[in-house]
Amino acid sequence: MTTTTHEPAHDSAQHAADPPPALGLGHRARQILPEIAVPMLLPLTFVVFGALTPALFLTTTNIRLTLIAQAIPLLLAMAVTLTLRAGDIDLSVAGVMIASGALTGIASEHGASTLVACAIGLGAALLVGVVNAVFIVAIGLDSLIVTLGVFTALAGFTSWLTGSNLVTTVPQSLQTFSNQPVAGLPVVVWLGWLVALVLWWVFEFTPFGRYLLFIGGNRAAGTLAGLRVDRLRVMCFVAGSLIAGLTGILLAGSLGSVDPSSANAYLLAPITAAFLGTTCIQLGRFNVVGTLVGLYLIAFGITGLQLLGYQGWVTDLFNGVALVVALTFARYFEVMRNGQLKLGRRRAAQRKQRSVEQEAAPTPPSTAGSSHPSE
Amino acid sequence: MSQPTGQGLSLRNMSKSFGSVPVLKEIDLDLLPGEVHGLVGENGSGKSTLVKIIGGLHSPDPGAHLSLWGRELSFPLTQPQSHGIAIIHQDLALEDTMTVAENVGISSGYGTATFGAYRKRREQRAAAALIEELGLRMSPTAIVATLPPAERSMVAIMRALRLQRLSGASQCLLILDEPTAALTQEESQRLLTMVRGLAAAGAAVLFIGHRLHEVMSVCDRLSVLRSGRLVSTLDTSQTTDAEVVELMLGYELGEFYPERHTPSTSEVALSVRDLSATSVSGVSFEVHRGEILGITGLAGMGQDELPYLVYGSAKRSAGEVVVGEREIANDVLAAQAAGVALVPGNRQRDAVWMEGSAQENLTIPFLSSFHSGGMLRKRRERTFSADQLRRFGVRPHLPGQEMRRFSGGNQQKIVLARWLHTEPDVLLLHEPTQGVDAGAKKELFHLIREAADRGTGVVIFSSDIEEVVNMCHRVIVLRHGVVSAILGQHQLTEQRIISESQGQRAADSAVRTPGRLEESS
Repeated sequence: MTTTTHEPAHDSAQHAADPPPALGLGHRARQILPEIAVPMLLPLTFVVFGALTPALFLTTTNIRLTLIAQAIPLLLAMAVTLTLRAGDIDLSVAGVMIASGALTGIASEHGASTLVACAIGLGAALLVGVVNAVFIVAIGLDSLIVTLGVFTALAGFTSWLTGSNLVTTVPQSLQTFSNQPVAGLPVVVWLGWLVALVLWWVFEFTPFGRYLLFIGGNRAAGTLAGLRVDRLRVMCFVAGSLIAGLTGILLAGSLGSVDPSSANAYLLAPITAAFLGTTCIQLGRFNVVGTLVGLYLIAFGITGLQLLGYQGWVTDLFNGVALVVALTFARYFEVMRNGQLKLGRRRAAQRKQRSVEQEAAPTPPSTAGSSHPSE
Repeated sequence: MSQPTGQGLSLRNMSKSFGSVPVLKEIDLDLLPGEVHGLVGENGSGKSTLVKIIGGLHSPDPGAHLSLWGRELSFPLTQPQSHGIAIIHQDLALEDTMTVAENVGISSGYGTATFGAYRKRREQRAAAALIEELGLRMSPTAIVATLPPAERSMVAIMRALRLQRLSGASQCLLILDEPTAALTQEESQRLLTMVRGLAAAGAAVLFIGHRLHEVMSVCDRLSVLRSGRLVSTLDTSQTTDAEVVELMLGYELGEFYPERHTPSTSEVALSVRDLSATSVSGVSFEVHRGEILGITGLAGMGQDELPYLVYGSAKRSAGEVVVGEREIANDVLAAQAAGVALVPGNRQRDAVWMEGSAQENLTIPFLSSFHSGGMLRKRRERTFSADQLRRFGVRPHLPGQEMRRFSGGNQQKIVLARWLHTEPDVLLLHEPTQGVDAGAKKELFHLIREAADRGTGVVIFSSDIEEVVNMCHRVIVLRHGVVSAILGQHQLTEQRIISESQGQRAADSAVRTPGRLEESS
């Protein structure tokens, strides 16, 4: 890599490079608090529900069961986070999962080997990812609407395929594999964490992860900066769909059957987790750790409420409320950051006695007039 | 500062802060009836804020006094029109498809209740009276779209006057906020003559202008704002353009633009041949290594589309773009691979990710160079970024700070740093100093100059004539999408560019051969 040798454009006492502003403890706290406020709710959940239901909540059984129950939503949440990070949204993942799972079972019923059956399930997921990409990236339709349509269509397709009956012909070897306990937890849980780990690595330690953030933040700027925006978006839809397909196979394996009408139950939780994730750790950014925190926060919250005696309806209520609360949090943190913006600017102004550009908001080129007086 | 007169507008101790950011500092300003008073200053110097306070949109900080026609008013000003205040913005807010009378009457609700009868005759009579009073020649029933630009401005002024009269004001304070920005020189001269007529009839006029020679020619006095302070009020007859510019910038103009070096080579960096698209046709030019070429023109003459056509992000309909020896396809990646870089004019829309950090915005085109051993070397990236921000004079040089928290000028430095690091052979700059304060502007000019000195062929696409005159070796003037003139360095004056862009020297064929290099000496 080459380094350029730019000298400072000019230097004078007035414009000498300023030292980075000293950040006080208060500033630090304001910086950190928004990032860890939501994650801190997770231990708080344990404290509160542990105190309210000491014999039930804080038990290995409860924690283990919750982790197992969240393995499938976790995988879907990863798939959703992937497209969200690139500025799109994929609502179809739950539909892909059910379709893939059902297809795997039906292929097996027709005599396909386990591997072939799984390949068929994944192949279908791949196809859906490509279809999504064609409509959204190539034709340029809105991802929310397209994937909502695809989700609904997939639900219909799966119903037709299965005759609305439970698919029970899941290969035995797949069931054994999915439920194989490793260190007390079934393989499916570990696989979910593995996918999360890989995605975390990709997001944090590869240029790809940064590219997704950039095009999610400003697609036009990404294009002009030379990012292959279309290709990146297609990759997200396809990879997200493949993760959903894998999830479908694991769902079939871990439950031993696929209920073709269950897609709706998996629709909202992953999205809630991903949005809640943007209020954790990396504010305003879809990130893996945040999604994990969001997912488990909701899961343990619901478990706790159920242990307190609230029944099934609490799940939907909590999920829906949590999504709106997550978005409210995100906006609140945004406002809080803007508060910092003013603070930072005041310091800058005090240091330099120079006015900020209050009026110098960039204008579109079409209205570009010279605001600089002529000689 | 002159003594308060108590007759026109008088501002005392006017300060304004947004949050804790001071925008105006202790402004004292007097405006006399019958006077045209200029207000000049750089972007961000506080002109707009001052206008908004007088227009009642903002309240100044406590301790400010405003008196008008000898009466002290309190803040925020309510119903400024009832005190005779009229503000005409650059966007005249006229409905083009309606008549003069309908446009004149609309702000005053046609003097009737919402569902009351629209009294056409009365409205037309009122408009006709105003037209006569102002000595204009137009019909109250003319459709506004058919009027020349200067007359359209006058329609907006008449509307403000009608509103004032209906509100019971007898005297008029007229504030014109860059009224001539979109007008040709001839049209703006006509408008300025009409404005002088208004002042002669007793109105106090505050004229905010961006073309200094206009301000100097129409105004009796002018006030200079710099960084929220009113640095001076001068009689235009007793000052010079250069003096005013120095007051606005805070330093001499001579230092403002870096020295122009003669390119050491005549090697062609970029050659564009017969390029056509929606707004340009058959444009050809060459840029040499080390040369700075300016491309300018009035708004909408094609210079805003051209950089994106060369860069490949907008669709060409014909023509070719050659960098070095190779023709490059109509594709951003091809252009980049050939060593072309573009700094877009609309920074917020096309160049930066505002929620991203300075570092993330800086390294995006060459991020993979920090990827080694299977992972992104973030520490190396940060060190590099901190280093670059310091070298480019970005303040504060905090690589982790969100882009939106930098000023426009510092954002632009970051974008420029991004592309200069790729050591481009061709650097396309679209309106490079738009929305940038004077200090940062100066630094950007030096950075651009240095890039050229290192052998980059630079093209500045700008509507800022002063900028291209002072920065460029050659300037191409576009008119209606075709090259109207190519001016060498010895021919570069603002006057020449203005007249070429308006087509007033169509006969001068010596400099009109597209694609030929005028040797700059």
